[in-house]
Formats: sequence, structure tokens, C-alpha cells
Amino acid sequence: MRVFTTEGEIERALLETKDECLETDDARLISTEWRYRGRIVRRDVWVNPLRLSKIGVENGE
Amino acid sequence: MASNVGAVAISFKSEILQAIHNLAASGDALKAALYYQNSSLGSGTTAYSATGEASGTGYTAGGKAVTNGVSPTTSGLTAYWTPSASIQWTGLTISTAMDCWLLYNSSKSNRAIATFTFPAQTVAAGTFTITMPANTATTGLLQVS
Repeated sequence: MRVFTTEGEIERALLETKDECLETDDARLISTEWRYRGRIVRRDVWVNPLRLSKIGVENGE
Repeated sequence: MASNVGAVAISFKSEILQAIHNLAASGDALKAALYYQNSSLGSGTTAYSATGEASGTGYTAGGKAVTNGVSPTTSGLTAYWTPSASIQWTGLTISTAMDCWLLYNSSKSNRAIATFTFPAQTVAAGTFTITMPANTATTGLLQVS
């Protein structure tokens, strides 16, 4: 299986991956770094918003 | 430039009272744009601007269309709404760290709705996905209560 990277398609077996999870008050994020011969050739990111946007206060408050 | 802050645009609060925005499923066209760190986005943001916006391979200025398949609804004392699909860029390269996305109304002069922040990131020939929370009164992305 070949993976699309900044250096074109590279065989999956030649790539090393590193996953990282970060979290702030606003979002939880997972990133995957793909390295080829020590160089980052691809980076994917998934963002999960944690803090909603809220307007107003409840009635009666 | 100041840090980006996640917030509902103050202008949006006034604009919904003027019936400017229509977030119904068949309503206005909404978009999401990505911004670099320290682009001063927050509650004072009134509209989409190219200043501070991310750029790179796979990114089109103005950002992506936001899928809106479910109209705002209510539960108890709360009205709420969430985009009905994740927002995703593929084959994306953003080499300078970004930490904010702006939800805005492209049908109404690109007026800002809200800003959302995340831990600063770069992307390289990859996929950048903003997943949406469950659309409920307690987890919906945008709530009025």
C-alpha cells in the first residue's frame, strides 16, 4: 500500500508513524506524523471541538 | 496581533435579532475558514477576512462549505444547531501553525458566526478534519439558551 506524502507516494512499510493527542479547554486533537528516513513527509490532524458556543442565559436567571 | 479566542461573534448576537442569519437546512450558505495563530480572532470578529487566514496546497481562500442538513431546533429552554457533517480538507499542506477556524455566513456578506480554537497545528500533504459534536441541547456546537 502506498501513502501520499510531500514526496509523492511512498510504500507504507517504509514509513514510520507517530500519533499524538493534545487537549485544551476548547478542543481535543489527534495528529499523525508520517516520517520517511527521519523526515516528516505527511501530517494528518483531527480536531474535536469540546467547548460549544453559547448565547444567553436560561430564562428566569 | 493577539491570540485567537473561541467565541460567538458579538455582531452575530445582534444580527440574529435582526433576522439576518438563517441557519435552517435550506437557509444560508455557511463556510469554515482556517487561521494562523495570533490572528486576533474572537468575539470581536464581525466577518470573514483574508488577514491571518491559512494558505497552502489544498486550501482555497475562504475555506470550505459547511454541510448544514439539520435545521436549528429546541429542547427545553435551549435552541441548538450543529453542522451535519465534519469539515475536511485533503491533500492539505499548511506549514505555519494554525489554531482557529471561523464559521461564517457567505450568503450574508460573510458575516461571522463564531470562532473555535484548537491546539496549534501544521499539516503536511495530509487530511485536516474538524469533527462535529452530537447535535443535542447539551453538546450542539451553537446554543442559545
